[in-house]
Amino acid sequence: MAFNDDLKVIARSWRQHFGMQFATLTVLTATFATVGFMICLSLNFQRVLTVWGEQVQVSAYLEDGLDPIALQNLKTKLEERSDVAKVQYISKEKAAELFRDQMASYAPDLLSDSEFATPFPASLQVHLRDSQKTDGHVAELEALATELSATAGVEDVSYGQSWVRNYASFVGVIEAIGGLIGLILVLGSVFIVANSIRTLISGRRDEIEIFELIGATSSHIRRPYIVEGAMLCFAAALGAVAVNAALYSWQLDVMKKSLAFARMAQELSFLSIPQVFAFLAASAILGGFGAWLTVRSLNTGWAAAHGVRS
Amino acid sequence: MISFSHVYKTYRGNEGRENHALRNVHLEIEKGEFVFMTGPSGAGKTTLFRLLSAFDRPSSGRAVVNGYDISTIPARELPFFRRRIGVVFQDFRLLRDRSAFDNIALPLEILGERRIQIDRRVHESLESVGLLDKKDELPDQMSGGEQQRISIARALVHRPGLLIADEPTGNLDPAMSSEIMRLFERANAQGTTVFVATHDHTLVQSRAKRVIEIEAGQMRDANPTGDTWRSMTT
Repeated sequence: MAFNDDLKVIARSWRQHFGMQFATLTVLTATFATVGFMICLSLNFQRVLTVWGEQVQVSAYLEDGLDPIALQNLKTKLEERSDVAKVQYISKEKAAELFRDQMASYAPDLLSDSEFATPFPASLQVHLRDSQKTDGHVAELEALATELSATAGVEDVSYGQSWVRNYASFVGVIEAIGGLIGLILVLGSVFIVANSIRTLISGRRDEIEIFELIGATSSHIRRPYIVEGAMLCFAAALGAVAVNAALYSWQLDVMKKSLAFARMAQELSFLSIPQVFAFLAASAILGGFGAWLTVRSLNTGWAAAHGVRS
Repeated sequence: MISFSHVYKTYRGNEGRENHALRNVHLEIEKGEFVFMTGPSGAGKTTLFRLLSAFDRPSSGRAVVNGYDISTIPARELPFFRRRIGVVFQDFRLLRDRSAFDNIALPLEILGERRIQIDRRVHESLESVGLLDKKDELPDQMSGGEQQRISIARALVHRPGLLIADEPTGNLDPAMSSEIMRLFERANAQGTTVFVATHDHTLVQSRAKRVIEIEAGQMRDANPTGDTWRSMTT
């Protein structure tokens, strides 16, 4: 039996059980839409956490009028450290400009306030390597801060102490909760898919029995159902992607506004093309697997033996 | 062709009581024979039929059909056993959503025959049961007699060595019943062993064939007129 024959079987199934097929497709689409939404949310959340992680840095505020050579020496000394990824000089003007950018939507008057240009000192922003951002390295971070405080030309040091202490454990908790929710959703999806397909296939038990009775092998009997399950879930996943894409574009502006202060709006994005393809493929595999589980329990070779007796 | 020895089929009722649908059955049918099995409703005809066609296993005893021991046949061998027999049911068991042609073509498709071969053999089969003009019709568009003839064509299209029929004329009028029997006799004349379960004594008595009587799960061999019985139970 060729793939074309499988498609004919599926088309016939849709013609005969349109109501049930449509209901199954709707339930699956809703399930996959929820799963897709959670995946999208999780990926965006991870992205935001990564950005926050990148913001784990030490700010060394410099004395006014620090000699440029002393500044360059300090910068070079810091760049040579193995735990430092990057050192960036922020002048007084640049600091004021950054602050005004962040506050623009909340305090527009600041943009036109020339007096506001000077309250921030120049600083060196010390970005740490990834390995230094975990919970266990808080002590090293504090040591670096202490060392910098004692350095000539450095007036003050800040590294978001409480934030740094909590960031790593926060990421750990979020990852654990995310994993748990993901596991529940995937298991729930398998359950819904298997049950939906079980309903479809149970309605065609007679057909399976007749095929068995005339000598069809298991693979011959099961294949159209597995293809149907895979295609059903593929279609549901396609619908789910469309629903989520529509929701995303509808809510994007709202999310951008609410995240503007945290400067996270530019980090938001929908699933990438490879991620969409992976989602569709995983859904199709899930559907095929669910159908296989169901049809396997009916197509034992002795389906007729479970019928009536005289 | 068929050899049953000390075969029991037992079902467990509600309250755990055992009910023997078949008791200590012995049966020998040679290749090329035409055998009727008669008996009242509930006597065990359908149970025996189900064992013969490997739709169920015996509870105990040895049941060999076409060289396969039904008691021990593994599930993976079942399709290959079933491809060597033809089965006709009282309720036809046709796929309602497929045309007469497609129903008859099924066993050949399962065997992996080429399309051109399938077309030729299905046309021959339709012609042999006199329904070539109905080839595109769905079962529900045909009469009971026509559906049964399609079912017989499906059972014979792959030229099995053994044809088993369970009450094939149960839903048909006498004229159509005779027509169905003629189809079985023709298959038998071409070398197919035929085993027909029926409760229609008139049909049996009008033909000089071997008859097996079954009652309360026990079997007796009789001649076609039923006046001489030879116990087949021990």
